[in-house]
Amino acid sequence: MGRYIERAEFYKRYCMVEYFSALEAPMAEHQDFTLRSIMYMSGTDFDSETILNEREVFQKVLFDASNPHSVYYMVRHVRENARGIRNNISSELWESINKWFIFMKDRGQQPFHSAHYYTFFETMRFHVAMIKSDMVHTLLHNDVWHFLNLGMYIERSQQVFKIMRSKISDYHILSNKGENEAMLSFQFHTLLKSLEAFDVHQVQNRGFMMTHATIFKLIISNQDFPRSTNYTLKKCHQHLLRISERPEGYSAVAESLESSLSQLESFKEFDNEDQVIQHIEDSNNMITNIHHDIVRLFFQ
Amino acid sequence: MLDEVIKHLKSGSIAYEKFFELLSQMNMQEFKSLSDLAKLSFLNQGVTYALYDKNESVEQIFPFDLIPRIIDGPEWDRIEKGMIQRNMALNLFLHDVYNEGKILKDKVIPEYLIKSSVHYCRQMEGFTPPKGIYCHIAGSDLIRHSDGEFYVLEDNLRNPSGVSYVLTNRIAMRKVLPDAFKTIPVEFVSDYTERLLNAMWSVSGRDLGDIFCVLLTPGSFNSAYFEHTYLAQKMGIELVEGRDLVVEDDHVYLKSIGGHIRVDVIYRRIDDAYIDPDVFNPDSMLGLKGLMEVYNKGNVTIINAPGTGISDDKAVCAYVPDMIKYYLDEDPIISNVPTYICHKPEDLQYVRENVESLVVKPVDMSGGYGVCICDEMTIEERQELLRKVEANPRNFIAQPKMLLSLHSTFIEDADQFEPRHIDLRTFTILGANDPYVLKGGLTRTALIKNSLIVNSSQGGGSKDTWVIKN
Repeated sequence: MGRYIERAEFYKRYCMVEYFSALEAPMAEHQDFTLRSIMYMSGTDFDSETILNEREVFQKVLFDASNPHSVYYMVRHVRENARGIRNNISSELWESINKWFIFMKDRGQQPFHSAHYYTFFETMRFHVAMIKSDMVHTLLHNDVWHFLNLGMYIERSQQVFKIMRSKISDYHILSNKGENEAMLSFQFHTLLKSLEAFDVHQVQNRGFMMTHATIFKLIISNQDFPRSTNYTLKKCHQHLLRISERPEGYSAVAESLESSLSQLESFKEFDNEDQVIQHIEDSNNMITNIHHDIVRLFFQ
Repeated sequence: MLDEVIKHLKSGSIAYEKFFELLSQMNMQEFKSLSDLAKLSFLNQGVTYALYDKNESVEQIFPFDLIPRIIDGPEWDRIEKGMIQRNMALNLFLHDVYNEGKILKDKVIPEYLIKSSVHYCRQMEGFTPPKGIYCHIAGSDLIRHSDGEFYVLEDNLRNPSGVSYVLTNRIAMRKVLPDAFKTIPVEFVSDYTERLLNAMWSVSGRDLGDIFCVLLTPGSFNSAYFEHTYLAQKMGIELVEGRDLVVEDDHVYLKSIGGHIRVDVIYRRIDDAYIDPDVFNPDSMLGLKGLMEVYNKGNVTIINAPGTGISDDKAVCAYVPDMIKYYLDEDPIISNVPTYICHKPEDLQYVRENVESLVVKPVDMSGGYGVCICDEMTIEERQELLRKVEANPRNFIAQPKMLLSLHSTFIEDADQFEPRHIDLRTFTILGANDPYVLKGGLTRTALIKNSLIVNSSQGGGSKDTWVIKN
């Protein structure tokens, strides 16, 4: 459930930032590029030869019940998961989740025009904020809560790496097409905004020019920023350590996570893009392994 | 009177055509709901300004109109060149009058006019700020007359405000009318704060990474406080009040819980009179004691430099075309509104004889305050005004009544679109690198029918300004 909540939130945020940022030139003439980026990021299949239509893209990525990568699909799974553990979660949390589901269902059945986009994304933000607040304030911070958080942080770290990879790739596609510098730096602004990290970056780098290295450093290694990958993985480790149920093999999984963490924390090559890409791939593999280990350990 | 929308539509402006085509796809109710959405966006972002009523300040949303003002690329190019030319000349003028005073010795501008300006700053005499930049940020108010040409009405070189509205207007427009930006190639404005920060860095005299900039605000009761907080946040610099700073060992420091941090650049949003009680108003609680001494030793940069306000003096502003000719040997690209300087006997005589057709203004007031539109006054009021002018001619200028252009604006009370007068405030940044003019600026709208006063403090509103890419 934690993973679906987090993933839905990330997709929503990526759609919103990509779409509205693209309206500000220099991206205005690159609508198709933006829509493709949204489709790739969500993992939704499409014919790469076709010209994308904005409404169809949002229908598929946000509301398509048959698309396992749509936000609606995820929200539905959050609700089903919540129903399955209804006795372990609070009424407040359940209601917030159910309201979110009803909102998504209703919205998907109504015409969805560009004038509605911003309000829709803002409302989504409120729903997610309410759910996360209920998780913190209305649940016992017991094993259920630790599992919810474990899922949330595992998902967050993967989504952060995914967005980074996607924007690095967008940057190179546009660079190869000979786009100007404003257009290229715009991709990295979007990366920061997709993670709601733009302001944090400004504060962290007072008196310094924004560079790819300053951005990578913040997103990968900052220990205080809740969307940096090192922060999220550290949180995974902390929640794993606080789970009271300890089946056979628990210690090995916890030690493996700890050792992977220290390996990731040693990464400092932020000004070497090839190394950053390699780090993203290695980290992703590591996170996938952690996920499998946890599923095997506790649920199989 | 020139209606900009009609003029552009007649000349086949594709951008206006596309915009109105988009509007035609919605009914009035849909339009109003978008307008409400834009207002909500401002309210939620805290985009407000304070109006003073007796002892109380009341926060207001700056009225915003959804119909943008559109300026074609080639026309904008001319404005941009004109603003760069104007502000380069003003910068050279400021350096000259505070140093050699050549333009005064050559009697291009009367020395008395400069030295008697309330904004003349003796502490700047013989001093050159870092990189020779005085007016890092300039706001010039332009109007478009019935001949279709833009004219400069006045310059604001002290603390030009309004740029935050340009940036937030655009954000609101993108939220509520995203389709318009897909079909109309509008120049972007979002790089303003980055440009401003780069300009601040460029005059800091220190290496990147070591530079510490602050925005000095008078505090939350100031009418532009939203703008101060917004710009500081967007640039990632500290928002400070005078009491947060201290002078020690000939440097300015920010007091912080982790110790003192050396300050290199102060973007002050406080008038000269209040920045240093040691030098200016001794009762000032807003500024920093000892700041000017540190500044004169070259240990901190103040943006804009103290003393730039002499250019805001409306009598001095009238000489900007002469400054352009004198320093750059060029003709002004954008002309001034013709101005009669009451200090000049021949101009005063003209004002006496033609007062009913003129607009008389005090030289040192802003925000539309003190402006007398004489054909709207009674004979007795005009006579009283002339008595004031005769008593202190240095303090007044007069201009012909230039009818600001009109633009279609949605008037809520009338529930329909009506033409309203507009002007344009441009924002120019001068740093050590290339000058920059924000592509758009703030279009201010007089919301009262036939009113020529567009200032927010007197009930004006604003529109997003779209410069179309060439």
